[in-house]
Amino acid sequence: VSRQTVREQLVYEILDPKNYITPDGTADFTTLQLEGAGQNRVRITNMTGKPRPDMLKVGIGYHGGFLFDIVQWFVWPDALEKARYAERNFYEWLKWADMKPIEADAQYAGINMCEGPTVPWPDEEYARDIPEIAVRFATKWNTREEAETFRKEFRRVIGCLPGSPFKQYALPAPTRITAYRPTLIPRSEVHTTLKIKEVR
Amino acid sequence: MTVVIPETGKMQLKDICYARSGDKGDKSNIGLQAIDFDEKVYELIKKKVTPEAVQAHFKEWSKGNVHVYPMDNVKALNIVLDHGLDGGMTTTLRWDGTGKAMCQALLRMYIDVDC
Repeated sequence: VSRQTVREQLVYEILDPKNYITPDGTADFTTLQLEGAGQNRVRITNMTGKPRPDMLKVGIGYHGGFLFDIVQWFVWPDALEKARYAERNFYEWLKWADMKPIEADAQYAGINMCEGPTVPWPDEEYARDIPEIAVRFATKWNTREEAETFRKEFRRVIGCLPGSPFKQYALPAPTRITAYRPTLIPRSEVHTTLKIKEVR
Repeated sequence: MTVVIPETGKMQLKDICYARSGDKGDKSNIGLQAIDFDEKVYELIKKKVTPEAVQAHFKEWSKGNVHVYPMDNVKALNIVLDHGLDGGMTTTLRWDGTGKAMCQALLRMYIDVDC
């Protein structure tokens, strides 16, 4: 425990730091002071806040289609060029096979899968020598049938690329998506009861 | 550790900041913290890491407003990308649905030290 670890927690998964809303009160994280108080001890002073909000958050889950992804590896030499070729073919094949996903995306594990467009694309010389790249073909479908059809057909297509291994068996089934939307409702609409059961 | 900020030139945020990120639904939150609570670093990032700069850095991954909330007391900026997670964890095709790596992606940003 240090000033740094406490600070890191203060900025984790918050929105406006002056108004960190919880059902019991709204905290203001911009007035407190952190002070080292010996090993593994931090003193926090001047914490402020506001009364509890009149509105409460409610999370609504709803059916949002089906997700299916499949990973294909491309290896040295010219791993990246092979991967890009496969990506272009992926989109063309979807059209040719008359498959209509809600969304489809190809992501390069080892390059931009986690940091997306903030990553500079590798220069050509480096790209030629990359030992291996995994491309994740991720798709979203309206129905489970469409997702299953894609799963069966696409594995046949990428399974026949020379020198490009992928996991032939035990492909996971399409995942049902529960989409999420938060909204607010008046506290007065929420009636809570508390029961305490003694367990021996 | 003492941070030396040159009079001119560019600095990459990874050399002067810590960062941690997470999600609130479709909103991506990135806590950008001046290294070792350094006052000069904090003043610099407060001036340079603007909503416009963050938007330009994340390009098509940021599809809504960007907010930068200063936290002078802990020498940190809380950055929120309103539609930064492609719909959020359960619906996005992105691998990093909760945006845990968005902080590392932000640390790639270069800022001008002069002016």
